[in-house]
Parts: sequence; structure tokens; C-alpha cells
Amino acid sequence: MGPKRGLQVARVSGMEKTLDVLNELEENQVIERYAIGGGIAVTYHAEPMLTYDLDAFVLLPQASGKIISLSGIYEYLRAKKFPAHREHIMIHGHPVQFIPAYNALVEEAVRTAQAVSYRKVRTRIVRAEHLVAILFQTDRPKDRIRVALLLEQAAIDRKKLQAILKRHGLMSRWKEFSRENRYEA
Amino acid sequence: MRPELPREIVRLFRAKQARRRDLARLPFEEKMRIVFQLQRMADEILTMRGSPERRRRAGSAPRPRALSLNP
Repeated sequence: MGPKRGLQVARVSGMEKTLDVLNELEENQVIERYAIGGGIAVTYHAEPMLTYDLDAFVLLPQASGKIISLSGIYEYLRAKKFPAHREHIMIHGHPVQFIPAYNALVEEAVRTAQAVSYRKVRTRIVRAEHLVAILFQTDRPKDRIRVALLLEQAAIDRKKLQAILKRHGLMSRWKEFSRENRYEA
Repeated sequence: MRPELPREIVRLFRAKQARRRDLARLPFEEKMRIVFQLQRMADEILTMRGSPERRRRAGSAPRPRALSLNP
């Protein structure tokens, strides 16, 4: 898959400053909670992989009601002079995509995410088992590659994974994937 | 691994797989350093290839401390 159009990609390190801003969003209750997913989460659990943005799954404050809107995040960050560029916001040189928890699985993944430190900055990363389940659900070609990578390299608790897959109605997809890829279901 | 492959190739592929497993065990900070390096490499390759998409993007997006790329 070729690069998407027009996204700016971090050339610099210093991701800790970006994480500081995510933590600030939580502290100031702009969001209830966040957890990193996507390619960065896969990199955390498996080998480093080429990715151009930081996906932050977010739980929005209760007051937001049933309508999912990221406008609070965008307004807060615009005031801090972090520019939006299409679906991303550039935070200290890193393109961040905020993804509201769009279903029960993603919400569970954010609530149970693993607390980690990156250069002494605390953050949260979706656990490998939830990451696999989310990738099964989205099921794009690149997601299948990521699932294979995680199953090969990440420390995955198979019982935990199966419980998550059952809870969210993904067992048939798991069985299908296991058959195709000769994994033990 | 497919058994019909020459033994030397199988050995090479296994070594690659072992290397990738080693990479998976690196500390997170070190992995992210590699990710940033991969981004630079990808940009250099696209620039070298003279991809029309890359050239078009280079003119369309601001590039302060970042590249104009996408997955």
C-alpha cells in the first residue's frame, strides 16, 4: 500500500513531548482516557515496523453524550498551536490521529491498556491480545499481516485472547485465520 | 517454511526470522529509533524512485521538521 497523500511524518524523535501533550489532554479532561494503538502498538509488542503516525484511541468525557465528536480535542490543540492536517494533528513534529473508541472492543482495549514509559514519560499502549482482536475486526490486508507478526513475536496469552474474541463475536474469524495460516486455534 | 526450497535459502530465511525476533525483544525506545530510521529510509527511496506521488506531495504539504509521506 502506498503512502497516503499529504501526511507529514515525524523525522525527528522527541516523541516524549507528543506523549506529554496526550497526557495533558487527559489531565485537563479534554479526553477521559487514551491508549496508543496502530503501528506504534504493534512495534511495542513485536518488531519495529514502518508506520507514519501515532494512533491514539480515546474515550471522550461522558458529557460529550452519544454524539461522537473530536471537536474538543481539535479546539484545545488548535489553541496550543498544533496544526491539523487532514485527519491528523501535528504534535511536536509527530502526526497524531485521534480515534474515538467506536465500539465495545476498542473501549475495553483503552480501559485495560498497559501502562508503559517512553523516555520517562508515562503512556498507555493497547495490550497485544486486544490489538489482535481489533485487527481481526478491521481485517484489512495490512491488519492480517500485523496479526501474523504479533502471533509470531508478541507475548500473547492465548486464553485471554480467546476470551476477548468470544466476548466480541470474533471466534469464527479467528478460526478461519488459524486454518489459513496453520495456527492452533 | 516450504521444504522444497534449497537448504541454504531455508537457512538464510531462518536467520532473518531469528533477527526479527531479536528486534522484537529490543526496548521500546530502541524500536522507536528504528521506526524513525525506517521513515527516513522510505522517504529516501521514494525520492530516489522519483515517485510522481512523492514529487506531487513535496510541493503540496508544508514540511517544517517532518516529511510528507503516509502509510
